[in-house]
Amino acid sequence: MIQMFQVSKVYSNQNKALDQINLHIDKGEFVFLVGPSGAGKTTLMRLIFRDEVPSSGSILIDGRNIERLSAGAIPYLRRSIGVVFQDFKLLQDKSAWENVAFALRVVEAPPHEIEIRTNQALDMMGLGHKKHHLPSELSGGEQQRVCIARALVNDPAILLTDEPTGNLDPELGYEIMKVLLDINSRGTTVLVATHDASLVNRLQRRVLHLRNGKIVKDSLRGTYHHDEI
Amino acid sequence: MMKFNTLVYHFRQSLNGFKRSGIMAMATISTVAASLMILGAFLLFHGNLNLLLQNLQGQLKVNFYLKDGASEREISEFIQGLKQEPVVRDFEIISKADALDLLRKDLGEDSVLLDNLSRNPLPNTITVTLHPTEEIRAFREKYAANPMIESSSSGKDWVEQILNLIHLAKVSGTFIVVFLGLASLFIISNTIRLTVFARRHEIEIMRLVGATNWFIRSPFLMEGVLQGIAGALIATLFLAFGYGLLQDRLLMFFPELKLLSSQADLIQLYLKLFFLGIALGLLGSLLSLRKFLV
Repeated sequence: MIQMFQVSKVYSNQNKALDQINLHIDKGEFVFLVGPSGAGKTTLMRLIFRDEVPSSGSILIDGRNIERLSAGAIPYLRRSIGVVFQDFKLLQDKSAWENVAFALRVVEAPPHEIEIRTNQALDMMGLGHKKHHLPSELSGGEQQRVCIARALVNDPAILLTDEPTGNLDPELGYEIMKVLLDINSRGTTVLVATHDASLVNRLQRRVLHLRNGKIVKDSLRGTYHHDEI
Repeated sequence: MMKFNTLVYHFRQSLNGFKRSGIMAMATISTVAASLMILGAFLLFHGNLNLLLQNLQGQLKVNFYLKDGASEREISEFIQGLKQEPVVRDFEIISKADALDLLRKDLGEDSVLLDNLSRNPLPNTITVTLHPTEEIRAFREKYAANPMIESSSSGKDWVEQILNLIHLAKVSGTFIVVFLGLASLFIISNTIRLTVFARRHEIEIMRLVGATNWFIRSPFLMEGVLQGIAGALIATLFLAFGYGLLQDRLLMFFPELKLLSSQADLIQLYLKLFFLGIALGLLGSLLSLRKFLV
C-alpha cells in the first residue's frame, strides 16, 4: 500500500528531515510511527499525501509513483488518504457537522449522501448529539474526533494520524485509539505518529522507530520506551 | 463538469465572501459601475455623432485638387484606387476648363474679371461623394497624401467638425476606458485577494481533503463575476435614467435633432456593458488567483 525507496527529504534550510528511508506497509496494516520530536514523523506523513515531495527517492502509494503525479491528479490521491492533523485544522466558523460534510462537498458528493455519511461518521465518533456545535464549543478530544470523522467520511484506503492523542488525557487517548483500531479492522491501512509510549505498549502493533530521519527499528509487535535507543 | 449542487454551494460561498468583504466589495462595485458608466456615456456620444453623420447622406464630399503636372497614368491609378474604396459612393472629375466655366457661370456678370487671365489658375479636381461613415477622415488623409494632390477640402466645415469630434471621442474615450478598465481590474483583484486571505485556512483544508483547483477557485471567480454584474447593473440603471433625461432636455431645445433612441440599439449597448462587467470580474479574480492559488 505504502512503499518508500531511498527517500530523503532536505528542507530549504538544509535541515535533513528524512534520510534514506526504505519502507513497506501492506494494505490493512496498523503501524505506529514513534520517535522523539524532530525525528521526521510528520515529514514522513506529509510525503505520503504529497503535501511535500521527497528530495530524492521514490514513493509508491497503491502502486503509483506519487512524485510524478501531475498537479491535476494530486487531489484524487488525497481523496484516498484521510489525514488527522496534530492541530486539527477545523474551520472555526463552521459546526462539527459542516466540518465533516466539507470533505464530501469537496469531492462533490450528492446532497443526500453528504447528509447520510456525515451523520454516520459523527455517530461513529460518538458526536451525534454535538453535531451543531462549533469547534470552540467542543473539548479537545471532541475536536479530535470531529477531525477523525472528517478524515474517514470519504472512506479512504489510508488513514494518517499525527499525534491523535497528543492533547488528550490517557483514558480519552485510549478511546481514540480504539476507534482507530476499529477503523483498521474494516480494512483501512492506519498509520499513527505518536510519542505516547504507554499506548503503543498497550496495543502491541507494528512499531517503526524514527530517529534523526532514519528508521532505526521496525518491530512487528513492538514496544516503545522513551529512553530506548 | 461541476455538479449543480456544487455550483449552488459555491454561489452561497461567494455571497458570503461578498458580505465579508463589505466595504471593499462596495468600493469595487462602485469602481466598476463608474468605469462602465463612463464607457457607456462615450458609446452613447459616439453613437449619436455617427447617427448625425448618417443623416448627412449625400452631403459628404471631398475635393482633391490635382497638381498641374499630374500625368494621365497617375490620375487613372488614383481613380482605380477610389473605385475600390468602400466608403466612396460616387466621384466626378472636373477638368481645369470645366472648373473655369463653372466659375464663370457662378460669377455671372462679374465673369468679365476672368477675361484678363493669361492662364487658367484653377486645378483639375476630383470630387468624391462618400457614404456617411467615420472612415471619411482616414480616407481623406490617405488620398491627400498622394504626391500628385496639391490639396483637399471637405464640402462643409461642420462636417469636418463632427469628424473631429468623433475622432476625439474615440481617442480620449479609448484612453479613459482602458485606464478605468485597468483600475477596475486592479481593485477587483485586490478585493478577491482579501477574500482569499480571509479564507486561507479553508483553502488549505480544501487542498488537504482533495479539492481540485477549480473547485477551490470557483467561489472566488463567482464573487468577482457577481461584483462585475452588480457594477454593470448600477451603471446601466444610471445611464438609462441619465440618458433619458438628457434626451428629453435636448429635444425640448432642438426638436429637429435625431438622437440614438431605438430600444434595440440601447439594449445592445447595455448588454455590452453587462458582458464587460462580467469579463472584468472574471479577469480581476483570475488575476488575484493566479498569484495565490496555483
